[in-house]
Amino acid sequence: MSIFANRSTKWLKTCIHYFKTLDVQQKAIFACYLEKNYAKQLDPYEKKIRNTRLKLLTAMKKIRALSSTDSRGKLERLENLYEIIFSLNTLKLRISDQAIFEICEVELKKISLSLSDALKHAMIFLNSKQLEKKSARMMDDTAKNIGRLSRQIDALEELYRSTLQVVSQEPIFFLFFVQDLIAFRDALESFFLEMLND
Amino acid sequence: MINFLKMNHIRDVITLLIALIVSVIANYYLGETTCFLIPLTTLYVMQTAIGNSFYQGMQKFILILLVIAACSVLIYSTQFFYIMAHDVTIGAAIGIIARLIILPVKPATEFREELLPAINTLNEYFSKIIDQLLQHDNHILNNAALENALLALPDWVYERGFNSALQTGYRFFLSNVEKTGDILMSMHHLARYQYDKELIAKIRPALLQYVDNVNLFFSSVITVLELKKLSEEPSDLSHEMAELQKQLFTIVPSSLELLDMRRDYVYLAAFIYNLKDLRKILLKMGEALR
Repeated sequence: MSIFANRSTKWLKTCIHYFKTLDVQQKAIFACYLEKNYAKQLDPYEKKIRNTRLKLLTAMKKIRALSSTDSRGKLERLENLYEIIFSLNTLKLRISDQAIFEICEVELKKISLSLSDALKHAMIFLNSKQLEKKSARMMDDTAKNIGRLSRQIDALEELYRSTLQVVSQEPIFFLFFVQDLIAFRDALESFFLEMLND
Repeated sequence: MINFLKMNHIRDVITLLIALIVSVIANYYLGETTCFLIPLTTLYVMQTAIGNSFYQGMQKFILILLVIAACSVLIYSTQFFYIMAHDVTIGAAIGIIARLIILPVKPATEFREELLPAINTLNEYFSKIIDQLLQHDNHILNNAALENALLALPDWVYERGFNSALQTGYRFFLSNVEKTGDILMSMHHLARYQYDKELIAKIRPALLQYVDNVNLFFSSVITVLELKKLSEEPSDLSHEMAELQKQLFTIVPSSLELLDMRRDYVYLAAFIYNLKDLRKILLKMGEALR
C-alpha cells in the first residue's frame, strides 16, 4: 500500500515539474513572436526552446515510467498538451513577415500570461491532490483560470477576423494558431476534470 | 577486433585506462604531492564532449588552477601554489593529449551515427500518424519513441569550442531535425481528432501517394547518412503536394470564413499544411547533404 502511495506521490511531483517546464516552454515560444529582436538574434531564443524541450521530454519520460496501465488516459492528455505547445511553435516557420506580430502583440502577451496562470494553477491543483485536499475553492479557481484563457483566445480570434485576415499575407496560419489554443484549453480542461474525478 | 574498437564506450574506457596508467607512472616519478593529484586531474580534464577535447580540457585545467590560486591566497602560501600547479599541469597535459591522440572520436562519424536512429524514428512516427488518421484509431500511437529519439540527438554540436567550420552545417541539420519533430507532434495532435469518415476517404488516395514519397525521401536521407549511394534521386514532392492541395480544396471550402465553419475542415487543412512544411524541411535537409 505504501509503495503504491509512494509511486502516486512521485507521479504527482513529476507531473508538477512537467507543468512547470511546459510553462517555461510556452513562454519561450511566445517570446519568439513578442520580442522584436528575434529575427536578428535567433540563437538565444532557439537555444532556450531547445533546452526546455529537453527538460520537458525528460519529465514526460519520467511520468511514463511512473505511470500504471490504468493511467493511459492521463498520459495521452499530457502528451497532447505538449504536442499542441510545439504546434504553436510552427507559426514562426510559416509567417514570412515578422512585423505582423506587432499587430497582435497585446493579445499574444495576454494569452501567454493566461496560459502561464492556467499552468501554474495546474501545479497548485496537483499539489493539493498530493496533500489530498479537495476544496470548492480549487474548482472555482480552475473554472476562473480556464474562463480567463478562453476570453483571451476570443480576443485574438476577434482580432483575426477583423484585422489579421485582411492584412496578413498568410491569414490561414493564424486560424490554425487560434484553433491550437482552443485545443490546448480543451485538453487542459479535460485533464482537470479527469483529475477531479480520480 | 576493429568492430569492437568502433564501439564508443569501449574506446572511451581504453583511452581512460591508458591515460590513467601513464598518469599513475608520472605521479610516481614526477609528482610533488602524495594525494594522486596527477591521475585525478587527468581523469577530470578528460570529461569533455565530442569534438571539444582541447577547448573543454583547457577550461577545466584553468578552473583547477584558479581554485588552487584561491586556496593559496587563503593560506598565504606561494609554495603550495607551485607544488599543486606542477602536478595539475602534468595531469592536464596527459589528459588532453590522450583525448587528442588515443582513439580519438571523429565528430563526423559520431554525428551521423547518433542522427541515424533519430531519422528512422521520425520516419516511423510519421507513418504511424498517417495510419492513425486513416484508421480513426486514437490509441495506436504514443510518443515514447519520439521522445527518446529527440532526447538522444547529438546536442554536443551546440557546445562552445566545437569546430566552428563543422558547427554551422551540423547545427543547421540538427535544427531541421528538431523542426521536423515539432511538425510531426503537431500532426499527431491533429490526427487524434475524430474526422468525418467520408472526408478522410476522399483525401485518402492523394494522401497515400504523398506519404509514399515522403517515406522515400526519408529513406534517401538515411541512405546518404549511411554513406551509401542513392539509386535514384527522390522526387521534390512538388507535384504530389499540388495534387494533395487540389484534392483538399475540392473537399473543404477554400474561403477562410467557410473553412472556419467546421473544426474538421480546419484541422484537415492544418494537417495538409503541416505536410507542406514537412516537405520544405526535408528538401532543406536533402540540400544540406548534397
